[in-house]
Amino acid sequence: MKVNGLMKWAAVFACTLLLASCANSKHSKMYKDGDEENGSSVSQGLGEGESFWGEDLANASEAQLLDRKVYYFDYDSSAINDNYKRALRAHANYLKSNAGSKMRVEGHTDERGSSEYNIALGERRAQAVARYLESQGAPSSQIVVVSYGREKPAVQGHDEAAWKFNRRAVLVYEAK
Amino acid sequence: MKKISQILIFLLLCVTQVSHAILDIEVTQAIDKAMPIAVVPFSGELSATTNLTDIIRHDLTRSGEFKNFPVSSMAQKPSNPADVSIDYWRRVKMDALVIGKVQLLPDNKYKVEYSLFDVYAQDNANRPVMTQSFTVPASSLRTLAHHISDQIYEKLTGVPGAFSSRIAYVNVRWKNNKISEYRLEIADSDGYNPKPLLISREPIMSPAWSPDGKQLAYVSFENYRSQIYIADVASGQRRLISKKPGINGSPAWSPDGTKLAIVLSNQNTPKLYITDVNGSGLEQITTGGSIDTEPEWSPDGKSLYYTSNRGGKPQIYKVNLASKAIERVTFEGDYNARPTITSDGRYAIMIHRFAGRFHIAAQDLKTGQVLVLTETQLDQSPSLAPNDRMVIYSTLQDGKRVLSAVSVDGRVKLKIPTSEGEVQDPAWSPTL
Repeated sequence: MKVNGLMKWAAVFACTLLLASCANSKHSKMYKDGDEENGSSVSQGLGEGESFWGEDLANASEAQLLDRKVYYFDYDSSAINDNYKRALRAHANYLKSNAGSKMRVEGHTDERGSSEYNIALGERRAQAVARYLESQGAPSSQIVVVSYGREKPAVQGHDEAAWKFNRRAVLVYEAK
Repeated sequence: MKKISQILIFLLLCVTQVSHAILDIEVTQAIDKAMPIAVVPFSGELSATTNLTDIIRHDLTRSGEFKNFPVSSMAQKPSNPADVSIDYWRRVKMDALVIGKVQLLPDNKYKVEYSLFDVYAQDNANRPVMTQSFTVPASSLRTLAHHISDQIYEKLTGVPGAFSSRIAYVNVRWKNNKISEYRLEIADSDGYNPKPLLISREPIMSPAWSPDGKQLAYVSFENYRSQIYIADVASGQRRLISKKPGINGSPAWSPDGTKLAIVLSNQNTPKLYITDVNGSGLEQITTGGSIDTEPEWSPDGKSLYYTSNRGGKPQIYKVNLASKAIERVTFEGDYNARPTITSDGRYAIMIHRFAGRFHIAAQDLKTGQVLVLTETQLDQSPSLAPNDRMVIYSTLQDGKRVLSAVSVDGRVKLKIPTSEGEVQDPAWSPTL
């Protein structure tokens, strides 16, 4: 089946936007190789079991919380870090207040282990986030859970420094 | 009408051959007693479009079981059986000798004849143990070379060759620190003629060949969900087999080619199902709250081996399709997954975590004994050759995902560096 020229370019553009929105979190940008703009602030907020967001979220605005689309996990875990809950509540509120909005919650793992088993682990992470959103009032009809397992790493690299950024759930608005 | 946000270029397999190989296979460890063999260049082959004996020598080397006599060392290069002086080949310590002839016929066809000699045969070593003759179009010379390799291999080892087979794999390309493209490709068993079956901006995984080698099932995320397709390899035509909510994954063909085992989560937890190859007749096989995935049919078609965390950590289990009785298969190590079974039912090849590292291992299904086959790490996706002698798998080398191969007894190791991007998820076809 052929895709005609104009449609093909529109599709490229649309997909580039989608890919860009997946990488929207300021912090996932900090750790990509060769990204010079944030080179000096790498060490902020790091550490096992922490949120990786150095800033104080207590005073963050709703818009800033909605900007938080990437949530990280410990190895072999789908437990949601308490530091994330305020931001997730903001997303739940958004979904509740915008009946036409639709969210895809993506689950991802690091590269270790078998591909399809990692698809299952990624689904557990995405489901944990989706269930939390629903517990905070987001209608389940507006949420879709998709696991990418280890297939779509955010960061290239083969050690814990990279793996910690690949174990994540990503919120993508398929419709706003 | 497809969504505009899909970017999917669907290429038909072309007729023209591409000589550049994406995979370039090197043997890093051969068996101690590799058989010395002399494959003498066939007369007339240099003027043919394809150098047959180059391909044959490369095939035999790749098996790890043969050691080729360098052409530059050959003081004699007979092409007729009558011109063979067995004493010479004994003096240079060859166990086997192959000679042949290539003749161009009208219509761009070639007549190819070859003879195989057992150099140390007691009687009549001067007479070939096998002579074959073929007439093929120029476009089939490469295929013929692999077929000749298969014949030589089988005559000398007693085991069918796997050179006339193909490998499907996923080629992943990065650009500006992001994955720009996933390509599902099919190449000859020596890495030549790679042809894309699917190019996508979203992941492709788990290619699985039908038992007749004519179709390939795979998982594609092109619609931002995991979905299972089956493609006809020759025409490129494909159909969508499974697009249930949640996970659609891990397609595995039954030995008779009529059914697929698949994994569906229905947004709950992944379980094993069986469906007809046209997507109808869905039957659930496993139940309960555990993750069940990566089904693989037993050679008799009566059971599925699979990965499950029903015992806490991923281990391999077997479920009888009639009774649904489940038995555990792996007991060594805290992570065993992705089973693939030799066609005699004797061995399970799998991903096995040993000393914290992911290797490919073979388990004797009768004794339970486990042999770690690889020295590479972060190994995945083992796939057996159609003659069950080799396992191709995905591993990490110099920071890149590449394919590697190891023999089922661990003695032969091959390195398969890639020219472009990273390569993963190999699937070895049946003999074609």
